Amino acid sequence: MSEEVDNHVIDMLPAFVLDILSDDETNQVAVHLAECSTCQAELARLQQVADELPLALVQTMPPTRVKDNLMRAIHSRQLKTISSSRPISLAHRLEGLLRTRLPALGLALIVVMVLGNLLLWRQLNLANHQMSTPMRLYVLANTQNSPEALGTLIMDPNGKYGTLVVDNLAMLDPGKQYQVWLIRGAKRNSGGVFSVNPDGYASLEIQASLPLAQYDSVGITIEPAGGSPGPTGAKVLTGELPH
Amino acid sequence: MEWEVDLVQRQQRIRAAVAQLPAEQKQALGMAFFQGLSHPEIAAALGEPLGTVKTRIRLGMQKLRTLLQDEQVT
Repeated sequence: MSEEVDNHVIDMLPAFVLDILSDDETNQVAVHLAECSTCQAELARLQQVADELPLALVQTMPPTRVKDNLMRAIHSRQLKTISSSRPISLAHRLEGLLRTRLPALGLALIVVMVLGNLLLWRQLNLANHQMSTPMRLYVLANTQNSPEALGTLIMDPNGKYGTLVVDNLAMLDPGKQYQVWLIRGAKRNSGGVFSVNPDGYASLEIQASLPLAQYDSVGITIEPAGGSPGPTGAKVLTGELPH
Repeated sequence: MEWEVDLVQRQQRIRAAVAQLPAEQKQALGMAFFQGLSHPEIAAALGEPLGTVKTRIRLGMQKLRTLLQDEQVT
């Protein structure tokens, strides 16, 4: 499988259209979508599903006696109207109409407004997601030591600070931790150590003496707990930081 | 009344598709879409691992997409 395909965000798109991703994940998807026609097409298909989902709600019918009472009231009012010899004023007609039909009309109106608002709200959210983000995002490549791992480095627009987000990394023995390496030329500086939760997820604010954008690349290795002065263990994620 | 017929058909189509989902996918999707809960909130409410909840929602949406797409083709 090519690296380009590996980097698709197709698996995140269902949660993206449901608007339940974290801000970091949402940014990652939005940035990818801006340049990927494959994921855009998949998003459009999933959005159609999301647009149809409100229709899956089953309408609840009111108890039979409610309908009976309503029909009896309407019938009795119609009889009164027919038997009356007096001309009926417009105001009286309007009052009758409102009294008999207002609850049903009101209910229908509320249902239509709720559905309409729901659909509009989803469209608005999608439009917001699709706006380009000023944050820089770098998707890291996994290695044979961690073929399922996912990693993203999110950098501020000035390239000074960054946060690493990883998922699907294996939990390590208590004596081991993951360590981030910031690589510039032949130098490798530690960017921090971290451990993942039982789901393999972690986030880490990168510690660096230089603005992050000045480094050439980033790597993550398995090191003794607390970190090493230089990389010694297996590399699990890596990525270039284009200047 | 054409739009009413269309609406009824769409309701039937999406309900039939949702009915084909496994119960746990249906439950997770409902909590996400209709209650607006996030992945971690759903995981906490169900007492399930976060990854499991993510997978259920992803598979559920992808299956709905496939079912609705197949229906349009046939």
